[in-house]
Amino acid sequence: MRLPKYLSSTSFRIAVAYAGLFAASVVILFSMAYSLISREMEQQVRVGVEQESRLLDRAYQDGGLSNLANMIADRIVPGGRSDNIYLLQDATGTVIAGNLPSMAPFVGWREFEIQRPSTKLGNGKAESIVAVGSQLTDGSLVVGGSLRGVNEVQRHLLKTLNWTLGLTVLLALTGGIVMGRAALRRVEAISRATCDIIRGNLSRRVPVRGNGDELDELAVNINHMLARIEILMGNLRQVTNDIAHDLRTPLGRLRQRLEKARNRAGQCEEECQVLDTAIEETDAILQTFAALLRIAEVEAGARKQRFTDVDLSGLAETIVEAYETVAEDNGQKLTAAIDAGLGCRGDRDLLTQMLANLVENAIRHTPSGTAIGIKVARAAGGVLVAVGDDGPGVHVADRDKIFRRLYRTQQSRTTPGTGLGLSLVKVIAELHEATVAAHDNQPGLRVEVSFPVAAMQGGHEIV
Amino acid sequence: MSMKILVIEDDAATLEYVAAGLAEHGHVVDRAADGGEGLLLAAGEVYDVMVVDRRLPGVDGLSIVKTVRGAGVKTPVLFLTTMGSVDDRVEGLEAGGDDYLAKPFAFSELLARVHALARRPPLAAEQATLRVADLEMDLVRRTVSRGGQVIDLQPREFVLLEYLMRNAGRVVTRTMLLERVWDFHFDPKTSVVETHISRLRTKIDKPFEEDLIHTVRGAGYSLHAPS
Repeated sequence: MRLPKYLSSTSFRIAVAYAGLFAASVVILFSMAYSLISREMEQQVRVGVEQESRLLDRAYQDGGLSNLANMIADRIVPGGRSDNIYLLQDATGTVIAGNLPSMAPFVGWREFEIQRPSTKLGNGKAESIVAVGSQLTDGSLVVGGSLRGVNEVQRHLLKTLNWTLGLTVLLALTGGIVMGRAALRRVEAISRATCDIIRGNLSRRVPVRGNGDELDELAVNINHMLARIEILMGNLRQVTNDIAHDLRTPLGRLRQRLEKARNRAGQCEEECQVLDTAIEETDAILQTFAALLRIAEVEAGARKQRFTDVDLSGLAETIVEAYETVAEDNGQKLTAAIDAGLGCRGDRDLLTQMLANLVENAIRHTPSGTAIGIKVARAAGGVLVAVGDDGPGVHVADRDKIFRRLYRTQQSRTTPGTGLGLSLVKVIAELHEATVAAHDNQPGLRVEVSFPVAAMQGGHEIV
Repeated sequence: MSMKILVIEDDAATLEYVAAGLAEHGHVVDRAADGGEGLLLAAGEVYDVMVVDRRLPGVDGLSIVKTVRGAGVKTPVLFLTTMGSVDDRVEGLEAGGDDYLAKPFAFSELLARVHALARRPPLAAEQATLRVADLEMDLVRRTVSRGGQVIDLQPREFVLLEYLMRNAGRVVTRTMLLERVWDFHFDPKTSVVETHISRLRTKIDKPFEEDLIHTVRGAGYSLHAPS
């Protein structure tokens, strides 16, 4: 399963990163506020406790333990407003007054937890207490304040933090996606245009909005680059055509002269043979030239604009019909396994030449007795065209090189040919977005051309 | 049969080669070295065939043919070009050209094509039977017989023989056969045409006394009655 495209887009990833950053800064701000507020509130509790402690101490000075006990009892009447805690113990540790169970006397500040029954003040849960203990001459006193208020504020703060954090992340992501998609749409438009150009439509341009932002600047620059490429391609074609014109014309004239001389010579032995060979060699040069020009022309991709629906199965049948007698005369056998009705969008003449080159390659580079097979079949999402033989095959190291221009294997150097047949196969396949590969046919060579689904669009099945 | 032929070609050597060659074969040739001159002649005179270069100074070959076709001139046109690509061929045929030949070419190729163009039978007079000597082809029933003896042909062999018979007495080149019989617009590296001609000969000629299919050295083949 593929994620929606914007999830893998750069802008979305940036949005996610920003959301993370925002979240982190929210957390930091909150924790600072949290600790400040906590500290401040706790301080206030301590100040209250200290004042109370001092007050009670004075009462003790004035009226001894009993006075103190009365004051404390007054303070802790049930329903009283104060939620302070008190513990007055005599020297033996017996509780005289207070709302705490007896405990070992202590002096100074101490924090501990108590549990108060569920009343107006306590909720039965553990409660943090900050208390100050003091030693009296005939007993001990503990006065404490509850940190419940502090804790409650802390809880509220944490709840708010969760909310804020969620909201921040949500906003950052939504914003990121919305902005990312807007930016993506424009990037996609640029991408579509460049794809179109790759397919050979060199006059296509990237849309420009005119608001002068970075994407617009990019689009304008791409368009400049495209204009340049178009000019270069034009130049290339111009140069190619000029070479064709400038070199083929004198070569053609040379051929004309040779032909004239040959005709004038009439019936003769030696001179005629020399002239015939010269004409043949001129033709060979011209053929290599024509093949190179054709490869260049196919590579330029302009032919895509003339693509039509081509019946690959029918084309393969024609090739088999044309070449099975040639193979037979060579002592070879050409067999076919062609599924009917398979086709693609393409250039009929070029595809014919591609198939013919593959079959001729097999015929010319295998000995008598070889079986050659041509196959056209439906393959995973496309069409597979394969030509295989059970001849000597091509060494694994050479298998990719045979598609190179003017490359000839050690064995094939002696057979006449331009060394361009398979290069042309490759560029024609590429023009049709098909891939070519040479495989071991065990034994022999098998060249496979796989047309993808994309090449089929509009072609579908030809009935 | 002598024909009146217009050759429009800017390269002096090729013009001379083509015009002199055609004249040598008994044709009357008008020469034009640029587009403007060519257009004037093409529109003003009546020719049997026009040989037009695609690349010309002034008016280019394509425009010349489009213009004269627009004016109702139906003279067969053979385009010459240096580029020799399919796009050129298709463009040329769409503009109203009838045949196409890439430079450089052997003169025999040009001559064979000019002859084939000039004598192309009008479509209305489509025959139902083709006959050369004692060889008969029934185009409706798709049968062939020689001397009353029925000959069994493969479909492609039938097309090949039909093309030879329609051009009986004229030379047809290997390239012409590849284009018309197989629709191959490239130069095969194996002997496709030779092999099929040889098969056809074993059926048409071998069992009989006289050969009808003749090899024309350095040019192609010709089907004609024994002379």
